[in-house]
Amino acid sequence: MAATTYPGSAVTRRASLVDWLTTVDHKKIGIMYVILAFLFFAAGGTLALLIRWELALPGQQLLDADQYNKVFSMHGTTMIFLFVIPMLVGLGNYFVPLQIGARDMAFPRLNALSLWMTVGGGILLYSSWLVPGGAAAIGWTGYAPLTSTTFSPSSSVDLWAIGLIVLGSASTAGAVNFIVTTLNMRAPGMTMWRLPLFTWSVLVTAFMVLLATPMLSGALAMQLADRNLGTQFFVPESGDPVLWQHLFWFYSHPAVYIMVVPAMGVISEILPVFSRKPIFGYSAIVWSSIAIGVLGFTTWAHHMFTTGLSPLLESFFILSTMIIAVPTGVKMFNWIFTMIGGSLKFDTPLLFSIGFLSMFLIGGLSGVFQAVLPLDRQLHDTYWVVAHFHYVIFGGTVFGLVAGAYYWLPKMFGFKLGEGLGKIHFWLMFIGFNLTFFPMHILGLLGMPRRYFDYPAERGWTEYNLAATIGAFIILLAFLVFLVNVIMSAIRREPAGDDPWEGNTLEWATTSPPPVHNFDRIPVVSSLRPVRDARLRLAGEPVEDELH
Amino acid sequence: MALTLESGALFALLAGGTLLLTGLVAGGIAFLVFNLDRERRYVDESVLTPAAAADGGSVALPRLSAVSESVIHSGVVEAPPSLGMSHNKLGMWTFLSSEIMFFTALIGAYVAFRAIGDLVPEHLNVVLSGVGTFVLICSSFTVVLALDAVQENNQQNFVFYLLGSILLGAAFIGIQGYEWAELMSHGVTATSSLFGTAFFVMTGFHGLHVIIGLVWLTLTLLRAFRGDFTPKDNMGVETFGLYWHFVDVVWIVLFTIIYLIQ
Amino acid sequence: MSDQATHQYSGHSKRPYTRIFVALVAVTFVEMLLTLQQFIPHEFLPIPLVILSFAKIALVAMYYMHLYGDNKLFTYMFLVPVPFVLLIMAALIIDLLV
Repeated sequence: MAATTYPGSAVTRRASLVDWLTTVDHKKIGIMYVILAFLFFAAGGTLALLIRWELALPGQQLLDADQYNKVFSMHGTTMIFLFVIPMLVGLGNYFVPLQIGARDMAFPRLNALSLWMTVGGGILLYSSWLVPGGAAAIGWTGYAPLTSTTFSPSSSVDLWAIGLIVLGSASTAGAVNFIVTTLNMRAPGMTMWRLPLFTWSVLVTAFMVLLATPMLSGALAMQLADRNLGTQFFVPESGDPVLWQHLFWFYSHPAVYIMVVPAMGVISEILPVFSRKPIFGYSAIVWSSIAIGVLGFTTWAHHMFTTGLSPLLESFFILSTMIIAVPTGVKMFNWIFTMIGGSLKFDTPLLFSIGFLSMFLIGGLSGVFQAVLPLDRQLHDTYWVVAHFHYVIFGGTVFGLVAGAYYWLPKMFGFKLGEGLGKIHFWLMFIGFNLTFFPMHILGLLGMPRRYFDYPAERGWTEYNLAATIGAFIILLAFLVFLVNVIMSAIRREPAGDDPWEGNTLEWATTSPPPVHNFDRIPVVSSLRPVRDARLRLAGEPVEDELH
Repeated sequence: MALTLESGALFALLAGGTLLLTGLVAGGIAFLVFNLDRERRYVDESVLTPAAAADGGSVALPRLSAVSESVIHSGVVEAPPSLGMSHNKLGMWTFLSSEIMFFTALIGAYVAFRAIGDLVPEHLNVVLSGVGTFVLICSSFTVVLALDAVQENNQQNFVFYLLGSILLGAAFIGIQGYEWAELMSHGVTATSSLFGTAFFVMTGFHGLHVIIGLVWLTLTLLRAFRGDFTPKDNMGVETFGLYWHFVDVVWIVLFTIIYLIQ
Repeated sequence: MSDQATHQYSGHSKRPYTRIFVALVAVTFVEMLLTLQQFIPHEFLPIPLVILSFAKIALVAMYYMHLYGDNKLFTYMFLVPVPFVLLIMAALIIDLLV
């Protein structure tokens, strides 16, 4: 892994490809996760563009119904399991040990295993394109009995299920690793209440992954048994297809929070730095993260309001779904009050963070709408739902991830990213995103169902669909700008220095990129913002006592 | 005019092509533009060794900013675990809590189907499974005695108890296999009824955990022969013990809900 | 600390382990008697059986897995899933019953 430094000669060996493939260094593994996630983002994005191309106008454009089913199924599965989650795991891998002042993760080899299992899971999922019958055409939800051999005889469904089990095991192992690292490898003086908020969010997420993912693995194992051994768990005649929905959503609703809570952590890191203020209500943010972590497990059946739940369960899940908006709202106020009265520096990370706040607010609120049962029955499986979760996952998580990329790439690679192209990237993405997904709210209210490859021209849906398609290609343009920005900045190589943003947390107290061992000496922490306090002390300015 | 892709192969080509193309671009960026293959300009651990220090610092020393310098100035070379506990033990307990959720998926399905009467137990041999339970409890006992023995540095007893645990675990699998055969001879299979479905999948996954435990136990035994475990360093035995007792706990639950409550 | 906790048992005797073993076997025996001999009406049988098996689990977790006397964090870690387990069980039973 580490290139050997020969004492006395100052010759360093170049890190070879084998070094990368066999590394157990959390930073190299983190970078590989990010690259892997970006690859699958490109693949999943291509599938998304195919969907939009098909739906741009009434009539068949590019895909027939069966191909369309495969494309949207693989789009959803890819984006969730192979883009968003690996991307967050990658950022967590790189920055959690740095933020808590550790030299590596608690189990470096397990960490490498998680990475390569994620690669293997991705290969398994994508190899399902090659079997007869093509990729799994079951939606990313894989509802029974659609997944039974009667309706999906192709073995692509088995590959889909096995791929997800492998990916799930990788993230469970990763969760164990993150929990042990965060609890047991903090630098001296780094109490839980001095933990950076990103690390807190990764910890909460790790607990959700730990408890939710095995449920999906169990359900997938039953599904595989149903398909291959002839068992009857989800067979309508003797078993119960709704059981699959319970087990699946018991994972997949927490998965929404698994995807968004780390992005919230990124935002909580960026806002105080670019507002030149301490975060407003540190402990409120921590407690609301924990509350989201717990409540996230109590809302799963609101995805199942149309299956005919008992009134008792219906009222419970309506209530819990509305309650979970409260901790999210608490965070929203924390972030806004962090910015109020601050001297805002409108650099790209802050722009994307504000994009996160506004877009996630829309996504969050449209989620509360759907908790209202009569409305949910109307909106279920329409484009309203598609709009809602893209505002949460794209408008929330992806904006947060890109904010994190602009914030942390200088640390990871040692050079600054171009601000001008960064701002163009932001505005293209902001406009493209809203142009794509806002019309889908209206389409949903007009009654357009999701997962249909075509629609009649006389329904009045054409303009909205065309707008969405144009928006999707603007998003493509935005990410091409991002790619160009990264390449040009890499060629320009304007050194970032240890701390380009005047940050607060320990990752800014080492070189960019950090050495293999992160810190020559493990810092001893005595406050919430160690790097900022050191900077003030060095400048001879007073350091006020903070709460923790 | 509609342009239609004809076959799944074209899709494979499209998805694979996108992956490959982005892979090449990303790989190119990673290895050429980011200089990922070039070693970081920072020192390696090896220069922190006395040998390197004695060499007179001919290796470029870290160039930290003044702020970074002041943050790590009063730092320590090695920090103890912040909770003062072993990573492995904490990791094992964390893993076990995820195992609870895995078995909840299977047990939850069984209990729910039982509660509504869709699932009726058939041809269960309570006495035989009681013997199996006894054997598994015995194996838990020997595993804990093995830990006790190694902590008292009684290597002979340690190996003896590990061997005993392997035999008892294997005996449990044997009993379970006999019971499976007996059920199948009565026509109860994974496909015959909802009970068969839930029974074979649940006990199958539990049996799989026992088999994994047996493999781990064998590896532990081999390490014991090598003298890897001492009174000071026996975390490998303790974490294995946690796993094994957990598998025992799962069996206690399965024994109760499948065999006892009929 | 973990080492201290295990140290508690080492050095003097194996008696807690043996006592727990005897208790586990005895409880299992009682459970089987209850099932096979029908001392109590069939519909009430699950109540004592569930209580007894929880007692067994508690014994194994506290003494064989050393939760008793060890760092409380391990106990919390083991108990974290319990509310979620109860919630999904309750939801499944209520939903499938209707």
